[in-house]
Amino acid sequence: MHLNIILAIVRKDLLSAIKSKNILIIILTPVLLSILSTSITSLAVDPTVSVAVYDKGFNTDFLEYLKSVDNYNIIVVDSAEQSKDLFYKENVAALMIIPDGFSADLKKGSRPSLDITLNPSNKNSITFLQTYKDIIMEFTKNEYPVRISLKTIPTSMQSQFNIPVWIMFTLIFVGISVLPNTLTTEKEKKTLEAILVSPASEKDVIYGKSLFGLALTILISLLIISINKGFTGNILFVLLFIFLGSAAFTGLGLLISSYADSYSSASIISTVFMIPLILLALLADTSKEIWYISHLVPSIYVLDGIKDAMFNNSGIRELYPGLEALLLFNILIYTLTARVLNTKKW
Amino acid sequence: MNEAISVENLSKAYEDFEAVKSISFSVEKGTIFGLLGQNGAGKSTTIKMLTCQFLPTSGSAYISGFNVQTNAAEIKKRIGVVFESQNLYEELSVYENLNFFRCLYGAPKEKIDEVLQVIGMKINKKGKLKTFSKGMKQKIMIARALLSDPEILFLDEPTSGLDPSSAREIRKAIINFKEQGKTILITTHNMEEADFLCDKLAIIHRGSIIVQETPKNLKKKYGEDIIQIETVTGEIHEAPMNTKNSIEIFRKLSEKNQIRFVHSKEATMEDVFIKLTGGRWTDAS
Repeated sequence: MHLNIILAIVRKDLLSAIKSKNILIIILTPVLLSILSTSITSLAVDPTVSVAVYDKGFNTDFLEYLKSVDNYNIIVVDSAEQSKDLFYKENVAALMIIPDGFSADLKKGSRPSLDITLNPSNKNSITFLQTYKDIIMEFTKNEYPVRISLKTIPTSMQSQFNIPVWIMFTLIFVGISVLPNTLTTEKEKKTLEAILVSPASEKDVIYGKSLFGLALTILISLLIISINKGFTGNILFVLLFIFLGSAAFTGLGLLISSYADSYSSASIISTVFMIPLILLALLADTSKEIWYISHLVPSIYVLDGIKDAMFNNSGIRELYPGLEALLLFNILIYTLTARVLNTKKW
Repeated sequence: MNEAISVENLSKAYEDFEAVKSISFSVEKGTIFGLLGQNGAGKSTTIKMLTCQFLPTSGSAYISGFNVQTNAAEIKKRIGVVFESQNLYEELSVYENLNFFRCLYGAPKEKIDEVLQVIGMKINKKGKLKTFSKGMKQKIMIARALLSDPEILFLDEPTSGLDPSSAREIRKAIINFKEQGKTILITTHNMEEADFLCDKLAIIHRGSIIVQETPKNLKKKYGEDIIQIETVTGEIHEAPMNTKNSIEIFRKLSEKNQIRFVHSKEATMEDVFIKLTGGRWTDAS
């Protein structure tokens, strides 16, 4: 192993990555996605819940009360037809049709009906669902058994929550897309031959490329963290997950490179691997079956590990199972890669 | 030891065919040795074995006294290789390309200017490689091979596909390297080039070396000088020089006072090659 040669390969690959449009696009995808997500989140912060209300009669006090509720924009309509119109045109979160004498019935203690139609396409319909019962309780002076102080997290923090997802994307993109791309391009353009007739060995190339993958991942991860308004949690554990995750996906990338003879075949194989790795990690919580399957791939451990290290202040005891799983995956993938590389000549 | 390269019964077999069949040759220090053969004859496979890219199936080869099978690291320090395909990093500049390989060889920074000077290139080192002509890129490949200050240069079809002016410059550079004491092994399918450059030639055909000699001796042994007689009516008569046939033709025509011009044509390497391989020569360059 020659350190100077390995570092020269890392420097050259970083330079090539910046100068090659194909690689640059792949590298910047997670960064651009994170910028897009941050922009959308900041644009989407409008807490006002617009509700169309049709009073069928004698509910002025309830209507006035609704108008006094913070963050509620009450649009009073004169007919059910007009309310439906508003429902579709003004994109209100809900349409409330108050029956005749509703307010009086409430005060008498009877249980009058309230006709509510929810507009799920309105982003604030969930807020409406979460708050309308409390509002009615307050109007009837019934007290909720618990005093709750409900706040919304600031937008800057919302974008921070996405950092683990973007880092996982980066690890996967760099490991199983950029790395096979650079290696197969070297094979295809025969620049690898020129390297291998120099004092550089195949091992130097493998170490150099792996180190390039790790360096690139860390650089992009830091960029993503800074774009998404800073870092929170335990940086050392986050770096440990980045390191183990990067190593795992780099191993997978090397395996792909050893099988693919051209850039196009490497791209196809990478995509086949990339889709389940990303989807299984993102959809792990949607069902019990997916949860079990997702724990067979390393991406879930990277995602959960970084989340826990950043937001749950988890210590080594809580993070150990994830670290151990990644370590095992690394041992498995590098044993397999070493076997394949020993039998397949570049 | 005066041998820079020594090859004994070297073979390379793939699953379905034998690319190189038990070839043997040696190259003296400070000389140019040519491997002449058609595409697919086994020239590039031989170079790949000698530059430690492939392991031979059988036989042995020594480069500067080091065995290709056991001393690859020592050999790699002592050789420079110019590949048949232009394998440079197109997205990088000339300087970035050469600097990367300089780092692989552990050469000092000044070496870059030195090798560019050796091949007579005055270029913008920051210029992207993809903007350069094929001839210029070939020169940069040669400059790259010189970064390690090699004792032995392996040149795989160094002028293939180049325009005549660039090819001539490359040939001139190769002769300069020989004058500097470097040993050169060149593969080519260009007969004139082989004749002009090489001190010794081996003709390789279907994986086997069928003959090895100096170009002069090859032509002498296997070629025929031709006498060409043009008559006053424009007819051209040809016959091998100094044969009964040529003397007879000359005598008859001169008696009738029919001769306008008499030319002599030296045997060419192409004639030798065709005679030895029995094949048609197809020179792409």
